[in-house]
Amino acid sequence: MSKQEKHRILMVSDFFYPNFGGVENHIYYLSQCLINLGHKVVVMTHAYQNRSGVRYMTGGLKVYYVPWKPFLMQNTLPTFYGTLPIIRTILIREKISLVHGHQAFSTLCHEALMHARTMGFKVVFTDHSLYGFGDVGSIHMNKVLQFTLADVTQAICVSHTSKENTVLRSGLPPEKVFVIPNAVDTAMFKPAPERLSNREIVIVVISRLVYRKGADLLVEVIPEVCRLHPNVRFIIGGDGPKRVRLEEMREKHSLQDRVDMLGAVPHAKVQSVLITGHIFLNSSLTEAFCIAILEAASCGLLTVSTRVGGVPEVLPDDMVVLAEPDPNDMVQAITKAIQILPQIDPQEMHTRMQTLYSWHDVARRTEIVYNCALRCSSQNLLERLSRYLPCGAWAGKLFCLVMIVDFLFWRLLQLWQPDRNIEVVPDIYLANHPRDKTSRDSNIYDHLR
Amino acid sequence: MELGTRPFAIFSSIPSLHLSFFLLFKNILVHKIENENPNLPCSATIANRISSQTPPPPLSPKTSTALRRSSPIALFNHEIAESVRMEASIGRRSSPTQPKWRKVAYGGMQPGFQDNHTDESFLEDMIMNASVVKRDLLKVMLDSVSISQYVCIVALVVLVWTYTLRSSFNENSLMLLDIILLGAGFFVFLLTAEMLSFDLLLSYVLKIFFFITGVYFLSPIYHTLTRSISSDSIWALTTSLLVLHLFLHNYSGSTVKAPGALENPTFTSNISLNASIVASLLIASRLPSRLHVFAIVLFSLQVFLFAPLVSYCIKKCSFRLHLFFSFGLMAATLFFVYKLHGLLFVLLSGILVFVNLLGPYWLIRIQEYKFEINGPWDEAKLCFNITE
Repeated sequence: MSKQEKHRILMVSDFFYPNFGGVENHIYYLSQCLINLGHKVVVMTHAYQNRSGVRYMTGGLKVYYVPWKPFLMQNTLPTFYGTLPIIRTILIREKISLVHGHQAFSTLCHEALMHARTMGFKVVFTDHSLYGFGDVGSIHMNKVLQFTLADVTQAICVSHTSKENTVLRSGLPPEKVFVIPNAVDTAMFKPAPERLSNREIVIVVISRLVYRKGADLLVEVIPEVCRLHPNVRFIIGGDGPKRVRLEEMREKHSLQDRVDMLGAVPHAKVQSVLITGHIFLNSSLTEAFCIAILEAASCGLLTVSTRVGGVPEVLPDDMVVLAEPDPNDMVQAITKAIQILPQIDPQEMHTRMQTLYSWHDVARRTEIVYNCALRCSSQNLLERLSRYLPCGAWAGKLFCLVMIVDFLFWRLLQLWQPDRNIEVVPDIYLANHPRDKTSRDSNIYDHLR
Repeated sequence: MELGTRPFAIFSSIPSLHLSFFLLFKNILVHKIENENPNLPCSATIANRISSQTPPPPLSPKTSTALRRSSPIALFNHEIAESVRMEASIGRRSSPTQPKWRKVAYGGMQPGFQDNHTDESFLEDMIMNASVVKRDLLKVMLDSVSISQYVCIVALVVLVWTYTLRSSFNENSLMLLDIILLGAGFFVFLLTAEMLSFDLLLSYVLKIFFFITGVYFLSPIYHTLTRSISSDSIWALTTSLLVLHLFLHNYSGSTVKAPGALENPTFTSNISLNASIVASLLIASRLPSRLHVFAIVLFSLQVFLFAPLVSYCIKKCSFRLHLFFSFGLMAATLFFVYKLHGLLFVLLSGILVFVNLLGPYWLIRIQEYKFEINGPWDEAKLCFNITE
């Protein structure tokens, strides 16, 4: 580790624990590993039910649950300026040097980045999702993203496909966009202690049962696979609107004894479900980066997946069988996977995953992006406005207006509640700082350098 | 019919949105590259500089066919993507000993490459304007005749409503009109039908009988339905419902399923039909007697339900006949509207000119700004039908 300056980072997203998903996971693990690297990390999200105020998590990770209620799909109501006072207070209280926003759907993230830019902070944005260009919803979403990214210092994407998508959507120069994938906590996803017998092959599916995750593909694929391979059994974990269709399929083809429907599986139990199977099946129709595949591979399962979005980049070719999102092709892929299954050693796969993916590596690479962002020159309001103006004949002027009002509002706040009146929080250093973990992964870093 | 089901939407909002979006996109890319990196030489100029020395990387067949069809802006964007790729390739050429960059996410940072490395394969899977159809002005104009025909039909219905409300038509002439329309519609239907059988005819007659009886027995209810509402509100509501009807109407087919029609009516066309029915009920409730109400409701329903079906049958039978019928209808409508009110005449002729001449011309003009981007980030489409 070199003697670099230590950053004080604010992670902002609407999505954080107790909600669960890829983004939440990413923020948590990234924060933990950045803390390990000696940085200070504070997370900001909106209040979840009665969880409001400040909480501490493992390793002294401080989480601000700001008292804004979500109104739709865990998103806060977009108010433009409503969040400025509290964000300003947090930024000053915690002596933040850099703001890192996550996920394009998150209104809190967009607002925080906007205010942080107004106050002259450097901002980094991570995009976790893919978007098309065709429909009205996408056009709107892309416009919002363009607004946020017009002035962002650096951007991060989770896969190369996602980078292409983000560059097209936002018009950012490609050299400003970094690709840093997600990782998996290999210590949490260990394979079964003893190898399962190959007499009966168990295929595991764990996903929300919705259209975008390809639940309709499963409805077509499962009966066909059961017909072709009498020794195959399915375990389906997850819940959602398409669950009814899967249950209908199970009854129609009398597969009650061969298809287990577990319902929603809490994340803590995912590993115990995964290790009961041989093959993991992912049927998503769109995916920027599939963490579920990583978890399955880390548990030593052979993965069969649709070839969509960033999925082909996630695993080496010998650890995954890819298929087009078409029932026939998927059935063929599963057949192929069953054939090569005897050559797969779960323990070996697990060890390989440890070298391929690590959150510490992700944190290291993110640190480089932070350094890059902090090296960029600061700009005054006029210089920044010149970036918004070309965002569109109407939109550009509108964006400029929004930013000017934000700037005035910030100045007003400074008069009303001067910075020196905001109390600064003393830093807490935990005695048992878990530094030994980094040394365990140091071989990867040596290899990388 | 090429024009799609909602021509007005095509003419108005969505293309302009697309257009502005892509113009913005163009602007921002240029701006980004030229203004934000004053210390870096502009990528486009680099591309120009090197294009004279090194041949550009060959286009993939998909991209080049898309390119041939694409618009100036699409070309422009393609150039940007190209220049980015070239820049990347120059960087690579300078140090030939480096291992090749791979488009993978595993294994940590790739040795010799930063995380913001942009490879020459960047955006190579992007496909532009893959599903864009080239439109022909004459064909679009002829297709738009269906729209003006239907606008005229609606205008005629409104005329009949107005004359009935002014008591220029009495209930007997209205009933006569109903019968004539029913007979004429049936006649056309029989002439153009491909397969006929006695059973089919009988079922039609029975259905129409039930329909008429139902309307007759419900007419007292319709008569007093909106007694407490003022006439102005009724007119305003009717006008907006008719406008909604025209906007959402399915101009390429018929909401009432024609025999042999394959697809089911869409959600919007159902809304459109319902709007028209509500509008006719509102108007009917302003009339003096129950027989009036019955006659006018029957008339409106006949037109709104079956006129699209009849014109669909005519169009399927002979396109030339369809054109004659439409132009005749337009002339008649313009004449009657002229007799009613001068300003309305100007309005209607304006609409007809717009729909038949200006709209198609505009559509063809803005076609060249059409810029579709597809790539691996798109949501996969299922190749089978989901039956819930």
